[in-house]
Amino acid sequence: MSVAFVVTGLSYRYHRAQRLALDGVEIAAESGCVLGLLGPNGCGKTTLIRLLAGTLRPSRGSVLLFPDEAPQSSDDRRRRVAVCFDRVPLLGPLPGREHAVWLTTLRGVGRDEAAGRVDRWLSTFGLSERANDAAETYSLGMRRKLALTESFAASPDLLLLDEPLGGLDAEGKGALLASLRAERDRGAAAVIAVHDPELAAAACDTVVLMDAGRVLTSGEPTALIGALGLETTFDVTLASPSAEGLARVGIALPEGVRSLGAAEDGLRLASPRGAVALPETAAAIVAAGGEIRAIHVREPNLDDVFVSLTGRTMRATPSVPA
Amino acid sequence: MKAIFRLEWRAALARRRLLVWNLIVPLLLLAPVALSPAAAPHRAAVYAVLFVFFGTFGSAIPLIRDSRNGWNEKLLLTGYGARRWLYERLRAGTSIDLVQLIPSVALIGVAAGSNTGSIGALLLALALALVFANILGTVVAALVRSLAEGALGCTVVALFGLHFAGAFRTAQVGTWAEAVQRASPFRPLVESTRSVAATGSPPSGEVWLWPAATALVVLILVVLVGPRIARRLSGAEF
Repeated sequence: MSVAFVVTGLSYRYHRAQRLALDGVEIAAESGCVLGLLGPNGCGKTTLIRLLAGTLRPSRGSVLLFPDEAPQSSDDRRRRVAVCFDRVPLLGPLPGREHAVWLTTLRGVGRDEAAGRVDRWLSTFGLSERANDAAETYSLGMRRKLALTESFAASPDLLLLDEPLGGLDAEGKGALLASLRAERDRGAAAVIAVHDPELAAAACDTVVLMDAGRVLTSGEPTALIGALGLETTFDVTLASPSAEGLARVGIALPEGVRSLGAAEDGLRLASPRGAVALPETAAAIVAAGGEIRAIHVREPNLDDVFVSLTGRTMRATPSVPA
Repeated sequence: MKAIFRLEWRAALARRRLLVWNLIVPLLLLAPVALSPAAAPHRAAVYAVLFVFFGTFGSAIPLIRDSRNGWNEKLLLTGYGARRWLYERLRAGTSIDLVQLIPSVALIGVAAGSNTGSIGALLLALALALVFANILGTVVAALVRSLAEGALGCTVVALFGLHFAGAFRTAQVGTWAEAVQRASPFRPLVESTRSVAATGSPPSGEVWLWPAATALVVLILVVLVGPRIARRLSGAEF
């Protein structure tokens, strides 16, 4: 595997800003890898994407794209990188398909080849039926799909996606995840900035957890979660008897499973063995005379990793105060 | 590759309503002047001001708009060279402006009863003036931060440019102002509009040489510093 990029001691300060938007970031990614940047608003994900895209220059440190290869001109390098930013600029009343074809041809791809690629990706993202409508009439989600079409049609070696899920429907999200896997299998590297822990875990080979412009930790999602030894929780809603009543009777919980407390209509239990302990646990509750209405299983996720490192959830206030 | 040139033309043709307005508005502004009994030098000054405004505003405003909505950055991120992008955008802008102003030039010529030689010279002078006006508009767009600033900047550079081309007052012989006037790319336009308005003969070859050379030098300089201008116009630190 060749190295897609290496970021060393990267810092960036916006004009007139008091704080560094990025502070000493060190990351690298190989080709054929989906790397997720995960963190709350203002943690530096977009800044890092922009530095990788070359639209910002580092205040300190360096960004090296394709460092194993012979040096290229900045234009040649840019042709190998596709960027999908949060906002989707459009050129007036051109149809969506034509829009994407033009942008692909600007990369030096022949018009027929570009049209073929664009049609393929429009179909993947479910935009074929509206492909010939003026792009300026598209909804937010459709504009996002068009931007993703443009990015994927470039067939890049490095794909940079900044919050690509904004406005996407379930079909679009599914298509994006599948497309990321396909690009990874093709040998492309992808960097995706997200603030949804579940999505990061599902889509990324490696996750970089960020806060206040710094990298907190990085690694495979399952390894990051597993390293903390976090437990799966079962929120059990009871039809009868009350949780206190059931607690008085006493439940012979399976090995390792423990009670975290009783609420008015249910119990909260913790399992270090994950969801595999659920059938035994449910059986134990029923055996103790409990009638179960519902059980909500919550697996530990990357937000728990973030909480363990920062003391607060990613959905809390921005990490960099205004 | 001429992809940006073709894309600009495609976008201009797709904006049909704007295209029609850009054809009609100069006609509506010029018709009362061309058909009025106003003195020829006054009519000529109005023509020159309108044509130069058309070029500077027509270049700056779309560039500022595309800068603010991220379109310029998006184009440059495709790896299309900044110099080539700028050059093709200037070419496209100039040619689109010229085509949109042809009916106005015809109106002026017909109203004055000019001969085809004078009208042809006016078209040529207009083309040269539009090249320079588009360059000025591009530089203004690169220096400002909003459409309002861009409109002010275009007004200032267009009027100063016309002033130094002798549109409002002929410079005294032997002064630096006369040297500037002689080299200004707006000078053939000023002379041609006067010629057409007064139904005189087209300007002589001497009027064209230095302005054409100036326009060419300025064009080369602007394209050479294209990456810096593109950086300003895209908001990116390429």
